[in-house]
Formats: sequence, C-alpha cells, structure tokens
Amino acid sequence: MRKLVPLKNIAIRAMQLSGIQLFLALVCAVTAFATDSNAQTLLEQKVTIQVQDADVRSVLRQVEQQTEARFVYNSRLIRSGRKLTLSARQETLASVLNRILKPLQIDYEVSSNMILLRPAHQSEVPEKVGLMSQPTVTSEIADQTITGTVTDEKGDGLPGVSIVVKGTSKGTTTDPAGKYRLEVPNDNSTVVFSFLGYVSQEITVGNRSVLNVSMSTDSKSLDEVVVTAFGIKREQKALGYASQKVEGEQLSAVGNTNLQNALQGKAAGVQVRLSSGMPGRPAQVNIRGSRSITGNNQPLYVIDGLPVASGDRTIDFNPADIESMDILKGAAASALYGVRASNGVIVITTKSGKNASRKPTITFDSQYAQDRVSFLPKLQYDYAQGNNEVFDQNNLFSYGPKISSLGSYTNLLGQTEQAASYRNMDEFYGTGFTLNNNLEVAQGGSFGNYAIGIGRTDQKGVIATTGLQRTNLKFNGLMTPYAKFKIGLSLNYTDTNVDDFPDEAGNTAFFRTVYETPPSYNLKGKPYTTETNPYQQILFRAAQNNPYWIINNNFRNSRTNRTYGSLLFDYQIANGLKATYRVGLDNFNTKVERYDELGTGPIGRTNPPSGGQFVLQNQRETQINSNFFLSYTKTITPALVLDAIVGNEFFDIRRSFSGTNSSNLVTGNWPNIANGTTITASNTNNAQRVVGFYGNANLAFKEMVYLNLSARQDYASNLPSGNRSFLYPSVGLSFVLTEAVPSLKDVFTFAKLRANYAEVGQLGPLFVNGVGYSVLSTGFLFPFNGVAGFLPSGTSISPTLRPENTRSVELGTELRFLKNRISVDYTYYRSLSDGQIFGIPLPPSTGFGTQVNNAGKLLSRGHEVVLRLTPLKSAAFTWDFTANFSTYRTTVEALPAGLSRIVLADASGAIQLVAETGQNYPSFYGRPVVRDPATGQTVVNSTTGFPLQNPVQQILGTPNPDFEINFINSFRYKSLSLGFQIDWRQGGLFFSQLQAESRTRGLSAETLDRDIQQILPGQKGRFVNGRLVVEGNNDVSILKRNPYWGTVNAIPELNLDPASFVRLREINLNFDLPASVLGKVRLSGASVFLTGRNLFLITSTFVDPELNMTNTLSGAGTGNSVGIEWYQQPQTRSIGGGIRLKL
Amino acid sequence: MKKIICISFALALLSTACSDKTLNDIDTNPNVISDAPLNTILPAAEMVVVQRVVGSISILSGYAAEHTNSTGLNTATKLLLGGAATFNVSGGNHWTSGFQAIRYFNDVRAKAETQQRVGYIAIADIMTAYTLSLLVDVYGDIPYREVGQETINQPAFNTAQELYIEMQKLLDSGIQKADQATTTASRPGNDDLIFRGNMTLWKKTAWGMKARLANRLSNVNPQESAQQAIAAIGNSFAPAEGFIVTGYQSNPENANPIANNFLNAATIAVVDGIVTAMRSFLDTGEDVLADPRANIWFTKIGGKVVTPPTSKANTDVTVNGTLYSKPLYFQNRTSPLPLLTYTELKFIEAEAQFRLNDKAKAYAAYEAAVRSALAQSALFNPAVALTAAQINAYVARPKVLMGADKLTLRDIVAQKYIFLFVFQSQEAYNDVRRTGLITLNDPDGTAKRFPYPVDEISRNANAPQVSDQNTVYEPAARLFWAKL
Repeated sequence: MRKLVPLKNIAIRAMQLSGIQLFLALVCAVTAFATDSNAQTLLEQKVTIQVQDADVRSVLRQVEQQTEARFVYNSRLIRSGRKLTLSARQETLASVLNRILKPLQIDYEVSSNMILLRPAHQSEVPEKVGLMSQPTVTSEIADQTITGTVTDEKGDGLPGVSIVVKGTSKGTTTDPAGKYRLEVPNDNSTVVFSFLGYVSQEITVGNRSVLNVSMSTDSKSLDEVVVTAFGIKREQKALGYASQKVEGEQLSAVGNTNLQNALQGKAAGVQVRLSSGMPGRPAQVNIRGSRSITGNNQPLYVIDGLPVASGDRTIDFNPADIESMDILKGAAASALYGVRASNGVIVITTKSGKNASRKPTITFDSQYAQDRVSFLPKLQYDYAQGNNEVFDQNNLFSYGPKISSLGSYTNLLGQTEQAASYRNMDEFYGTGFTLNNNLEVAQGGSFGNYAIGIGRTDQKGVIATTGLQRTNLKFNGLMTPYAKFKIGLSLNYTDTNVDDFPDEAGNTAFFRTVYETPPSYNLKGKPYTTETNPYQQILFRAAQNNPYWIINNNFRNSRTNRTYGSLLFDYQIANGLKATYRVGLDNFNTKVERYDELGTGPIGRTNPPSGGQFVLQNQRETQINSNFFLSYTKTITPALVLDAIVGNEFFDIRRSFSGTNSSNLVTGNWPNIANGTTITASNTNNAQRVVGFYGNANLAFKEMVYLNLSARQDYASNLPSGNRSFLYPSVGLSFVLTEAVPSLKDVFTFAKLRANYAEVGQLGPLFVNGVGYSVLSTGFLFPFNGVAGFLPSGTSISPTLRPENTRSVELGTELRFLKNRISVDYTYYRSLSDGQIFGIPLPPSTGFGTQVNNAGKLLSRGHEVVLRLTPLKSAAFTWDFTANFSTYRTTVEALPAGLSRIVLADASGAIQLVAETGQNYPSFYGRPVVRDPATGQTVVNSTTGFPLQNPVQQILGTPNPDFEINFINSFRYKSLSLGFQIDWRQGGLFFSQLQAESRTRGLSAETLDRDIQQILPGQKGRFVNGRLVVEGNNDVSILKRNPYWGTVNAIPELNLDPASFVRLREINLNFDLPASVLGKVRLSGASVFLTGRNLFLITSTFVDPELNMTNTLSGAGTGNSVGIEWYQQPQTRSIGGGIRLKL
Repeated sequence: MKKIICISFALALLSTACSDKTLNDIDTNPNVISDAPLNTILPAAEMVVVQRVVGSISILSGYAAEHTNSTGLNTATKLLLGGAATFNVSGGNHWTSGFQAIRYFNDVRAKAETQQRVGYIAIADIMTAYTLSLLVDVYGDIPYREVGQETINQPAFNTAQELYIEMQKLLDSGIQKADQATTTASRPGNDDLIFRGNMTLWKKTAWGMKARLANRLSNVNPQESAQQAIAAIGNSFAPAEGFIVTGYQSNPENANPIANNFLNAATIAVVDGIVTAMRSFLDTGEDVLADPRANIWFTKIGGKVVTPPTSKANTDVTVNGTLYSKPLYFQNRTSPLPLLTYTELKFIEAEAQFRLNDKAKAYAAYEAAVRSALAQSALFNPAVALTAAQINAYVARPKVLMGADKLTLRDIVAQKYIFLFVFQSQEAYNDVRRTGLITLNDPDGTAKRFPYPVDEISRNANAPQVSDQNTVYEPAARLFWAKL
C-alpha cells in the first residue's frame, strides 16, 4: 500500500489546512523569535504519557503541554480519529516521537522549537530493508547547495517554512529570519516550499544557488485572514468584531448573474431582498437590519480597495471575478470608511494571480443553465369570465359559469368559439437561459502577480425579448520592481446591456393580465391587435394591456459602460513603516431607451389608438477616490506589538442626468423623439465631496489580547456651512481565551471573546445649502404656450443639520472544538441610530412637504450564529456543514415631536409600510378587520355577512422575519463533490397585490368554493353612528364571490400572509477529472459540474414571498420597501451545468 | 528638503479640497434657481388650484352629493370618503395641494409687493380666497394663518366661521388691488392662465365669490346673507362671463383634470341623485331622457339611463358603460372647467330674493337661471348644444316654470343642483348640506364633511384627532352653515 503522494496533492492539501494549524504555526513563529532552544535540547526533554486508544492529535497536544515543542503538520497527515496506545514514563521526546510517529509513517524535523511532521518517504525508509542498507540516498546525491530567504506578502521573513526536495525526504525549514540553506541533488531538482496558511510553491532549481521565495497566504485556510478596512489584512482572531468571508467560488458556483442574488444566505446577518425576476433587477442588501428611517440602508461595496458605486449598479460586477468577499458587518468593522460605511461594507477582492505559479495558469469556465419561472400562483381554471354565474365577455371578473357548461358562443371578434379553459399564465412564460463564460490568465512570481479576466454573461429572460448581456474585462496585478516598492493596478471594464420592461402600477402595468385574464379567454391564441390597425389592442377588457402586444411593441433597453479601477503604491519607508496610496476612479454611463408604442394602455387604448411615449435618458456618474495612509508596526516588547495607521481619504462623486420624454406619439413603430407631440426634457447635476482623516492603533499582547482604537474625522460638502465636520471613534477588544488559560485547550481548540463599541454616521441628501425654485408638477405641463411654471421647493432644510449617528455595541465569541470539527461564532449587536436625517414629513397644511432635519431614533439589535461542522471526514469522504443563523429586530424608538408615524412606502393605497414609534421598523399599516372587544372574535357585517372593516388604520405587523437560517452543505467523495444550500426564513408578513386582485376577480384557486354557502366564524355586528354594535354569533350565510372578496380586498389585514418559507436555493454537483486523464490532455485541472437554483420553495404565500415592490413603484427611499409584491415578475428556477478547465 | 516641499504641497492641496468654500461650491444646487420671476410662479400656482384642488374635490363631492359614484373596486362612496385625502387627481390631492397653493400665493403676494405689481396681488388674494373656500366647505375648520411659514411645523386650525370673514376680506382686498392695477406693468399678461391679465374679470370673479359665500350663510343669517349676495351679484358677471378655465388641450398633460381623470380609469357612473332631481321637474312616470340635458349628459345602456344602486355598484370601467350610464361630459379632455358662472349667480339671486320674500324678483332670476343653465349645459362640447326650441320646450313644462306664486326654494335648489352636475359637484355638495332639500338615497346618509387626511392627523397635534369615514356621518361633524 505504498502510494506515491503527488506533490500537487500536497499543494491541494495545504489549501485545506485547518485553523488550528495556522494558529499553532503563528504561535511557533512568534515563540521562535523569543526563544533560542536548539533541536537537540528540545528532543532531550522528558515526557510522560499514558494513553489508550487516544486520538493522535490529542497525544501530540499533551506532548506540547509537557515540553516546549510545537508540532506543525498538515491536517491530512494525521487524520482525526487516528488512535494510538502509548505508555511512556520520563522518556525523551525523541524516543516518544519515534514511538508515536513511526507506525504512522511520519517523519519529523526540528526547527527551533517547532517540530514539523511530514510523511516518511518510501525511498528514504524502505519498509522491508535489512540492516545492511544503511546509507541513505540523500547523502549520496547531495551535490549542490542553495540558499535564500522566504518572505511573506509584506516582504517579511517567514520562519518555519518547510522546504523539501521533491521526490526525496531531503528538506529543511527556514530560520526566524526566513533564511534557509538546502542541499539539492542536481539542477533538475524541484523544491517545494510549504507553510501552513500559505500556498505551497514548487520551483525548479536550475543553475541558481540563491532562491528567494515570496509566499502568499492561502485564503482557503480555516483561520481566516480578513481583509479589513482599506484592504488591510488581519487575522480573524485579532479582530474585535464579527466578519464573515464568502469565497468567490460560493458566489459563482451556480451561475447567478447578479452578485447580490448570489450573496443570498451566504452570511449571517446579511439580508438580501430580491425584487423581481426580470433580468438585471438589483436586489436590496441590508446588513443587520436598518439604521436609517428614510435614508440609505445598503452597504458600501469596495472592490480591490476602491469604494465603488453600488445599489442598482451591482449588476455590473462579475461574480466569477471574485476571489473572496469579506463582509464587515458592524460599525466597528467599517468605522475607518467613515460616512459611507454606516451600513456595513462588502469588501471584494478580485482574482489577482497572487496564488498563481510562475507559469501562467489559464482557467476557463463555462456555465449554461436553463431558466423557467420558479413559483407561480395557484389559479382556477374552471370558471369563465363574467359575474354572478353569467358569462360576460366585457367583464373583468371570472365569476361566470363553469367553462365546461358554456358550449360554443360568439366571441367579441364575431367568431364562433368553443368554450375551453386556458392556462394563460403558464403559456406566457417561456424558457430562458443563462450562459456564463469566463477566461482567466494568472501568473505569479518574483516580479509580482497578475490576473487578466474576460467574462461574458448572456441571459435570456423567461419573458420574450427580455435579457441581459454583460461583458467584463479585468486586470488586477501587483508589481514589485524594488524590494521596498510595490505598484498595484486593478482595472475593470464592464458593458452591461439590459432589455427589460419597467414595473408599472395599476392598469398601466404591462403584465398584469398574464395572471388576470379569465381562464375562458384564449390569451395566447387570440390576436392581440385588430387586423386593420396594429396599434389597436385586443384584450378581454378595454383598460389594460395585452402582454403579447406589449412584448411585440414595447421595449426598454439600458446600456451601461463602466470603467473602474485603482492604482496602488506601496512603499516600505523604513523598518516597520510603510506608506500606501491608492487612487481610484469609477466612471459609468447609462443610456436608457424606453418605447411605449402608440396604443399602450390604458390611456392609449382609445379608438384610434393614442398615447405612447419614447423616453431617452442618459446618466453619468464619476467617483474619484483617493486614500493615503502610513502604517507602522513596532514590537514594543516581545509580548507587545503595535500596529498603527494614520491617513487621509478623499472622495468626490459627480452625477449627471438628462432625460427627454416624447409622448402622445404621431405614428407607431417609430422610437424617436420627433415622434411625440408632447416633448419634455430635464437635466440634473449632483455633486458631493467628503474628505476624511483617520487613525487606527492596534495593540497585540502575546497573541492573546488585541486592543483596537480608531477615529475618523470627516468633512462633508452636503452639510451646512460651518457645521460640516464630525468625528467617529471606535474601540474593539479581542481576547483569546485559549491563550490566556491554556488548560481550556482540553475543551476548546480555540476560544475567543470579542467586544467593541463604535460610532459611524450617515449623511443626508445633497444640496443642503440652499433651496430654490424649479419646475414642479402642478398637474399641468409647463411650459405651456410660451408660459413657464416654477414653484418653490416643498422641502425646507434645517440650518443645524448634522450627520446621523449610529452608536453600536457588539459582543461575540468564537469557539472551536474537536480540532475545528465544530466551530461556533456568535455575535450580539445593538446599534442605536440617533439624529436620523430625513425629510420629516410635515403636516400638509404647512404648505411644505418635508423638513430635512435630525430627528428620531432607530434601534437594531440581533444575534448571529455561524456554526461550522465537519460531521464526517475521512480520506475519501468529507461532509462540511455551515449554518448561518440570524435574527434581528429594528424598532423605532422616537420620531420627531408631533409625528406619530412616517409612511415609507405606499402600495397604491392598499397597504402602507410605516415607521411608528415603539413599533418594528418597518411595519405594515392599514385597516384591520373589526374585532369584538368582548370575545376577541372577528366581526362580520350583520347585513352582508362579510368581514367588517375597522375604519381606523392600525399597525398590522412587520415584514421582518423572526429569524433566518441558511444551511450550506458540502459533501466530497473522492473527486466528486455535492453542495447545496437551503434557506429557511421564518416569520414576518407578506402582502401580495396579485393575491388580493386574483381573489376579487375570481381567478385565484382559493375562489373555487364560490358555490358553497358558508357562514364565517365570529360575531356579527355593524356600525351605528360610528359606534360598533355587536349583535351576537354570526349566522349570516354567504357565498364567497366577488362582493365577498371585494370586501376582503378592502381590508389589508386579511391580505397579509405569513412570509415564512423554505427554499432550496442552490445545488451543485462537481466532478474533478482525475490526474491521470489530465496529464494526457495537458491540463492541470478540469471539472464538470451540474447546477440548480431555486429548485423548490415551500411557502403558504400566493406568490414567491421574495418578490418585493421596487422603489419607483412604492415611492420609498433608497430601497426601504420590503414585503410587498406588486406584480413583480417571478424569479427563475434554473438547471444547468458547465465545465471548468485549468491549463 | 524635497520631501518637505512635497508634503507641504500635498497638505495645501488637501486643505483646499475640504475648505468650507470649496465644499459650499460643490453643494450649490445647480438644478434649481434661487429665485423665480413672478410670471412663472403665478401660472404654476393657478394650475395647482385648478388641476389638483378643484379636480379631486369636485369628483368626491359628486359622490357625496350623489351626482355620480365610483364603480371601481373599493366602490362604496363611504370608503372613498375615507380615502378622500389620498384621492389623486392630476397627481395631487386637494388637501396637500390646497395648502401648497396658499403658500405659493403668499409668495406671489410678497414678491408682487416688493415689485409693486399690484395686479398680481389682486389675483393672489382672490385665488387664496377661492382655494380657502374649496377647503373650508368640505372640511370646516382648517389651518390658514399659520400656513406657509417655515418656522411653524404644526399650524393651528382656524374655525370655519373666522375663515368666512377672512375670505370676504381677501376678496375685498382683491377688488381694491384690481382697481389699482391700471398700468400694464402692474398686472400679468399671458402668464395669468385664467383671465390673461384681465383685471375686470378678476374683479367680477371676486364679487361672484362674495355673493356665493354670503349666500352660504343662509342658515346663519338669512336676511343679511341675502342682501349681501344680491349686492355682490350686481358687480359680477354678465351672461356670457364666468370664472371658467379654458384653453385645455387634448394631450393628457394639459387636459381638463376631471375629464382626464375619468379617461384614465373610467370608473364613474351616473347615480340616482341627479336622475331623481331631473325627473322631479318631469311628469310623474316620465323617463329622465325627457329632460333634454339627459341626452347629452348620460350614456345609455340599451337606450336607457341605468344607474347603479348607490354605494353598491358592480365594477364597470368602460368609458361608455356596459352596466351603468356614464357622464358624457367626462369624455372631453379639452372641455373648459367652470368654477363660478353667471348661471350660478342667477340661482343665488333667486334664492336670496326668495329669502327676502320678493317672489317676483326671485322668479325672474330663477327663470333666467334655468334658461342660462340649459344654454350652458353643453359647455363641455358645443356640438351637442341644446337648440332654442329644446330649451323653450323644457321651460314650458309646468313643473319647470310654475309661476312666481308656486316657486319653492326646493325648485331653485334642485334646478341649481342639476345645473351644477357638469364639473361643479363641489358646489352641489355644499347646497345639499346647506339646504337639505335634495332627495338622496345613500343608506349611509350624507357625509357632513370629508374626514381629515390621516397624514395631517398623524403629523399635526393641532388637528382634530378623531376624524374618519364613520365620524363624518355623525351630527357633530356638521358645518356651521349647514342643515345636514
């Protein structure tokens, strides 16, 4: 059973190292500086051990406790669960090690007080060799010596790096300064450098005698290196706050075109609210609830150190470019970013080739998935158009007779038609697809490293003519022309082209009739225009649009060209002192062309057709970002290390918009401004600048206690003159329990407590220094016959405006057990946002709309748990399991005096989302059903037998879930791996307009009981002169038809459903081609995979509870509208697969 | 040295990057003008009132006065009254837009005073009084004196009584200022979208308003209100004149707000209130179509005028109606919008004389009013104007022109109620409540007023805190001038 372990596999293994090893390695690295014990004395230390069937790793740990030795090994070398029995009393370490390791075929080497374990090589110790074959192969062939220094990414010497001549057991480790000396057999020898937490490197010696190597960290190791503010990497254990890393592979695994959608469920405390399944629709991401009542609640996105425009434009980012994503959740984590980061920061590191080998690696992957609508409402297909059981082809209801009883009739086109039932909704949605192709070239070496990526995404929507095409080009690299100087460049170009349809409300909505067409009407089969006029729509009713007419006549196209990137200069001024400067630019142009054909309903559905519009918009945004800082590291005493930075950040954002709207078209099929008889145009320009100065100090005591202090002072243009600077401090503490109390290691592999306090803020709207007159809507279009109309702004701005302030406290712990087989990360946070800036809605009687001022408090608190388990782990089979649990509650603690609630979003009067003092943020608000105060039962109208509406609007609940938990499973069997993610969101309410309408119209399957006489449970009663009179138990028998559902429709409470759901979000099956095959085709890696998204959804809601009304519809500010569906298009269910090749 | 230069240069650059002046420049809003000329504010302010305040008050008053009703989903009159404040016409609701308009006219007045353009002041005064009257009559007590002041976030409410005095004062002031606007420079031209700067017509409008408001107090002070009304009418419109908005275009953006609202979602149907009133002047059992106006006002379902049961209509959203008759005048986006006309003043005169017991004068005014009403009945579409013969035939009916002795107050009020059907339901709703003489059949009764908007109640501690769709039917909600 002697198997040759290919070195490549060692490299792979190195990537799979567990946290404790890195932890140990780091401990060793530190102690290596401090002590000076030599190998011999170490091996002579005495050990006493009595164990039976004990875990090998735990035995080694016992040895560590009794000696100064520290073991360093690959977790695969000693599999957990490997048992041994040993009895040793005051034996030397050397002897004990032999007894432990020999049977395991493990060899060791001593460096300082570190004992590096590695597989004993067959060639060195042939198993069945007699005593005579003593001389080792190594000594025979050693004929050349190489020396060199191994450094880390910062250029500092890396001690304890294992260096092995490939194919032999000959090896050594680096000294505390990272220097080494090694004898190699010949020029052709390949040397393997490996160190825990770093990517292994193989280098052929050639004729060199000096071989310097720079090791880069392996982001895949368990004890994460976190990319914190400004790209500063820190070990997770040193952080006083929670952060969570999401690997790029996780984001791109199932081919999500949209980064935000891909992020769904990947991290605790990150809430992703999808909007619509229409291509290119952004989702809304909130981290840890909300901080701002009407302002922005979405995080800042930072790509390769450069803050970029996000929000709607996150669709420009290619998930496949992402190496990893660090989510800085709390204020303490993001404090250094200042005002932009009050909602957390998503720090994205794109692939840069830093782990690449000297030879260029080419990676190509291609994914294809077929998309179908994922979750459609349940409709009825039995009853025909009409009301009161009478067939009526002009009626908008489906309370007619049974279709089966209808026979043939003359339809509105004058034809004789045989009555039949049509599945109009199912027929409308087609099959879309998503095709992602990504090519990456990466190379690393002494010159630096780089990656060039080309990505192309083609998406065809499930609605004909919709789609998305995106091309991403990127370069990310780092050059090291001099030892002390680095130049980095990250450059991205994106071309995003989206064809979609706008979300409209009411009868203007383009696709309402997909669901609302009576089943007796053959929507697909009937013509959608008259024979004589292609702009004259035909539909079962006059007011709305025929969806087939829409897709054949209307369009909207948005094209965005975006360039963003940054230049990095990094200069090591002196030992421990470094200057870093990064300057970046994000620039994009979006051109939108929208054409609503002549005859678009409802306004244009006249005879002859009228209306229609052509809209042309151009939007441009430029963000300049400059960030300079000095960082200083000083070992004050061996136990106390200081890291400090001071710096300056500057950002300037300019936006311009111009739009022309040409409406009431002259003729059809001519998308041109000249086609309109009413032409309006407008343009706006926006500007903002913030300059910030910051400092951060981090004190580490013995790898045990970490204290972090930071402060940032910002100067913002959009604050009143003289009042525009403000300071945000933060303090964080991390305490590694297992370091402080070593005996705890019996229980915990690692235990840490963390706590922090931080303040961050958020700015209000632009242009607070003065208001003026503009063209306001008066219900009459100006200029009119040469007369212009200007009105003063309805907003007044307080001269004492200051930024919103969020003070947050976060407590957490990180515990690992059983050699990392179990790890738990728990966080509690509480953030109080005070002095909310918002346009305080004034009573309309003031004549003003809003006053921008500081007022109100919002309190968010919550718990997050990240549980990672490895329930099974053997050579062939591994099962990793991650559960992200989060629960939070945001409440409105105070509103400005006199204000009892603020409307955040108004769904066309049907239901509102509000912020009300003492209530959840946000809460549903509307009219409930009347309840009998005596019995608590609902009251029905004693005349009609229908539910009685309470005229007084009330808080009806919140869309926020009680908790959300995401289960991420990953199984690996040999080269086959299976991963899937199940999301479970529990609690919260959901309002579906489609449900309310489908009931009223008799379309919902729920209305199938329309012919059954029933008595609603509860009391009956009525209002007499405005007072409720309850008249006893309800005995009024009713039929649940249009009048009943019409009444229900008018009572928002009865249209709220529990929003809980369980969804199979993602599944993927991956097969890595074996090395034997790869060798033949000269590939270094290849895999094929199958993917699935949204394969099932369990919910009690009428439509997908993850559909959310978009802001333009609700009037809500920056994405604060959730829990309301308003004819949003369904999400898609995708099944597909692909290949990934590595050259 | 080089380093020091570099560093100081960088620092200097940085400090200018965040100097107060630089940041102020960046924060100067390029999208607005700090001050706008009068001739741009006046037309915009006028249209806010006409399009957004008149529009939704008129439609909702139509429901309350039982001229019309909505047959959309959520149909009941009662419910629409509950949502009255958010009922949007031309993209605005009357409560919000009304107070904005008052603020805008304050601005016009202030600017005009500095620029000594007295004609603008006159219009600001008259339009303010008109806007106030629209709001006061459907809500009762409303804020006024503290409206439009940036420092007051929760304006106090003024009583309807004091506002009636205030409106008369504003109108008096408007008349006085209109007289002073003798030079062209002192008054607007085409920027006055209602009268193109014709100050005489503004003055006549003010007098007409004075008459209307005086007559509104018929229950409060019968004699004095009648005398004041008659006196004012003498200074107001001649037969062809009126406070009428003209110049609407066929595009939805510049259309008659009420017609445009209907054409966007044709939910409004004709109801029994108007049909009953019209039939009350016909022979018993005679079809409403015998009134020549019925033919040009209502669409017919199978040749008949069909009305929905009040408050319980099925949904019928077709322009011409498939279930119920629809008002035809709603179908013309270009239709002029009457706000106060000679005809109405004649009805007021008739009523005032009747109150003063001068039957002869009352009857003469009544006859003139009815004839004028029929002549004006096709205002929305001259093509369907009634012929002189049709008018003569109608007035010849004994129930229409019954002789001075038989004339009753109900006749005057009912004919006026019929006349007001075309775009002027707001005034019909006032008469319904003031006189109690119109036969209505809504089982919920007649709302005494509109409920205050939720937005006002929740943001203004000075607002009456209980005001919803139920309480407005309670007797306590009655306005000071009303019987109902």
